[in-house]
Amino acid sequence: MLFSISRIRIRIRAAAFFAALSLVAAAAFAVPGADELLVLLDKAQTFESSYANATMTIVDRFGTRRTEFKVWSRGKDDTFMEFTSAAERGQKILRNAKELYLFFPDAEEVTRLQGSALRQGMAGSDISYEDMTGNRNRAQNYTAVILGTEQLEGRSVFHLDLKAKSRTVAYARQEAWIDAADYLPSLIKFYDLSGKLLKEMTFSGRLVVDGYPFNTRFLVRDMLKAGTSTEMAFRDLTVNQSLPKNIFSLDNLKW
Amino acid sequence: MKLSRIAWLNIRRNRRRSFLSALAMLVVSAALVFAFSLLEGMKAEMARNVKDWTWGEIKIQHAQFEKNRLLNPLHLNVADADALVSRLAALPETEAATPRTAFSVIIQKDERRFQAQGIGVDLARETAYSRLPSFVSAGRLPEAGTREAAVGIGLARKLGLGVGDKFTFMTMTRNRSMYGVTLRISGLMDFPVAALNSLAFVLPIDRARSFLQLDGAALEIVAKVKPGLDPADVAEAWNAELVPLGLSAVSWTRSSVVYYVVSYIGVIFNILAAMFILLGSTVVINTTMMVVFERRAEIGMLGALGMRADELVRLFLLEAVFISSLGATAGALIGCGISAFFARGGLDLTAFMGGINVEFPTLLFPALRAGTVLGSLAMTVVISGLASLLPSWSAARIEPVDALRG
Repeated sequence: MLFSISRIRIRIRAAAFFAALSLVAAAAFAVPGADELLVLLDKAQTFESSYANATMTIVDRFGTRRTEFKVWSRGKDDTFMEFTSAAERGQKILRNAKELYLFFPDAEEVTRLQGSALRQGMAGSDISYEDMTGNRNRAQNYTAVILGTEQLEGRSVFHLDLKAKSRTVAYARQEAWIDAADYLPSLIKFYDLSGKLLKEMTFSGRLVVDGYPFNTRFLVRDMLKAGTSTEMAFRDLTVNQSLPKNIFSLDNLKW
Repeated sequence: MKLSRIAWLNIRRNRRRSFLSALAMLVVSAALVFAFSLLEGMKAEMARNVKDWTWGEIKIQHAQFEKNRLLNPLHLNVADADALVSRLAALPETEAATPRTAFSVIIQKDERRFQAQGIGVDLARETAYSRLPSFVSAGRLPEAGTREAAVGIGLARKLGLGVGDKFTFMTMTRNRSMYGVTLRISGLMDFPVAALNSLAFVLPIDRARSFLQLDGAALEIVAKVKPGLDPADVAEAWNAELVPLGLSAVSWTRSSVVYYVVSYIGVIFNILAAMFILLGSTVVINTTMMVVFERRAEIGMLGALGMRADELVRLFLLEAVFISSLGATAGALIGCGISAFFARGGLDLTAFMGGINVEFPTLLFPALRAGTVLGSLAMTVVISGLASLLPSWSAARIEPVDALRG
């Protein structure tokens, strides 16, 4: 009798152990929800601070040209860019939570970009000022639905459909393919309100810097322009290093 | 007694009526002569503005530029433009040549945005080509190498700026990159083209080249040929050398756009001329018919005295021709005088066209042509004569007794 009671206890303990193990395993391999994926996507692209040198290669019907700049960013909102290539030398861009400012060496006034001007191609590229500086707030601006999981370039990705919460954002709808391992974007398609495909951004050149995964290249195609593309390549990346004081200030634009 | 003598006596017999009839012809004739000289002047001024400003007598630009104009293709330019201008200026057939670079800008002022056009010019050569300094209405032209501009008076008014003020604009560079520039206003321009007054500012071409990243290039070279030469022939001859360089020279007479504009304006002028003729004819016909109808009793009396119907018609025709000839001649002389007066200083429409963005002359110089003066004269006399026929025929047909009864 005693023997059978102890066997029952052992069985109960074993069952409890396997149940707990199953819960842990389930938690470990659970598929995040769509909104959670957006948070992870933003998080994968947002750092306390970052710095990089960048090269933009612009191809259009008139030929190919390269533009170089340095870019500093802080959190979700702040970005500062300074062009170093000869044709654009001295031009600067500052983006904060509310505004986007441009500085040109021949202008005595700082230019505040607003409205449709934000959608102008930066340095004549397919990347708008808004694309370059304001893509780290998707969780706040979009609602998402997971359309499935797919294989893209040999990697497992989540396929998400994003719809804008308001009309203040640049794109009414986005389709995003997010890497299932590090939540970096692999491919994003941008649509207008009528569902017309406007742009396509393809990411590549995955690199781990200071323990953080990065896409060091992305290719943008403006689907409304024939035969154009812009490739952005980042190098000399640093993450969470201290940045120059007041770098994200208007004073720094004029300096 | 001859009919012409009777007609002349009739005219002198009732001088007040004759004077009023002649006065009507005088007014019509003077108005026609002035209106036609104004239209002729307008056509000539438009042609001059096209040659001086909107196209050039001959325009040299990159062969692909016009096709891509809407894309703002600054890279489709005339490289080493100054050297080419010097070569062209040295040719025996060239009167003047100068490089130009026109570019679109957005000027932001007090939360408002204004579209405008900058024109980079070679200040020394432009003086010979377009008499640029003569259009400065306040201040002075910008100096080469400086961040200065002379702004069209209409644009300055829109911006609320004057000489000494500064403005900042955004434009696109050769690399299709947005760029901002601040310029100080050195002077105000009263261009002879309304669209330029309300849209344009001129700046030194070296400064424009610097921020547009044009490196010695210009978007176009405009040239004028010596009097008596056909610009189309000269352009064709130049193209033998220019086409292999990827450039093309087009005479203003061969530009489809300019030709279309000039043709279109020509049609409008013809419609205006027809309206003037119609209005003038109405006055002439009305005056002549009133005079004849007023004299029905007199016609009846002449019929009762034995004058035949055809003689009556001829009598009134002669009277109408005599009166209208006198009135129309005096009117034509007055019209010539008014036209000559305005031809000296020009008829300044700047105040009326300040906010109008059209390629229309702001200063009109009436141009007298013998053909239009004689045509106006003849038209007044012929219409007056024809207008007298109908009531004369009708009056000559009625019985003398009925006519005398009134």
